[in-house]
Amino acid sequence: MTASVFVGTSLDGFIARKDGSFDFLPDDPEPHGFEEFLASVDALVMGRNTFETVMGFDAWPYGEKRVVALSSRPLELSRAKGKVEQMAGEPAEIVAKLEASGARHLYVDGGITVQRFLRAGLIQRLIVTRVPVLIGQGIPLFGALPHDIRLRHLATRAYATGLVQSEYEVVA
Amino acid sequence: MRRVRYSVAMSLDGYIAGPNGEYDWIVMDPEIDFGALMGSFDAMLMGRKTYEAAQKMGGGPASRSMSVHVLSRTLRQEDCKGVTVSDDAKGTLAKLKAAKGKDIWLFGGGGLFRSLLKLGLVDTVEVAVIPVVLGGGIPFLPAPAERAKLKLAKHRVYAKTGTVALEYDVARKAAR
Repeated sequence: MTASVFVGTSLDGFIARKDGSFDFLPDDPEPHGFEEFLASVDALVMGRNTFETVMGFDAWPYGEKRVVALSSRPLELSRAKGKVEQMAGEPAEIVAKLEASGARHLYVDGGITVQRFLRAGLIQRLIVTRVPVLIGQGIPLFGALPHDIRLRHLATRAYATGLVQSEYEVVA
Repeated sequence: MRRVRYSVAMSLDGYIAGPNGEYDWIVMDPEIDFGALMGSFDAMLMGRKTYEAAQKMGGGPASRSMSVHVLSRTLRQEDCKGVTVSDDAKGTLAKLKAAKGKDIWLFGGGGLFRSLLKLGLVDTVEVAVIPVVLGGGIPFLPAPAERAKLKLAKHRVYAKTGTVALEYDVARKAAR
């Protein structure tokens, strides 16, 4: 199983403003590999906050892709426009369940969920796209971690609007 | 015109030092020409905490070819040999920029960067992103700070260590 994170951040390391909004991201970003990345995963795993944010979007961004929303409380899945299921539990249990159901590549999303999976050592790949802006405060990229995580740089691409995307694998 | 350049090494998650000021995670890529980088500056700006940390480390980064300016409201000039102490960031910068010379290295820390950014006195931000997630530490830009638009000027990968060097121009604020 491989679990990847695909995330946009300001240069100063924030993935969203304090209220969860993303208005510093370009309105109409040039293609930067998200569709290709999404096509490469078998399932998305996200926390309740991210799920509820995405539910508020006009368009469902994940097509028919399997989406797993993590929550120990009931979620209103009937309004979801895509294929969404709910799970709860420790990251290792979630990964084991998804692996048993045939998933080979996961897209883990959402600040707290990414942090939990990183802490559990269950993330193998990070794809970070830096937006050329300083926002001064917000929700940090990965949050607090008990120890340093060493990475191996795999590739970096720059885009015309100044986005710089770097891909890393976690050094075990 | 001399430029003020904030040039730092940063972890992937946006820290310039660990929680206790550690910098053991910063790998020096052999391909980076530090001599040329240093040679492009002849003045250095730092805040009190950074100055004190450098003193503890045994004298700090000062050299004969670089004048060092420490911005602090509490330090006294007579206690700080070999550096110029001032509590007036705007005045210090105006004087430095009016004089002829090479670029000015905004050495840190993040607090001084925040103050100078607010005053519109930073020209470029140069970040060497080190492939490590620290999960905490001294932020590159401590919150809450001004929002600033940047323009990507250059990027380069140093493959041996996986360091990604990014260079941005700070968008000029409209004149007030």
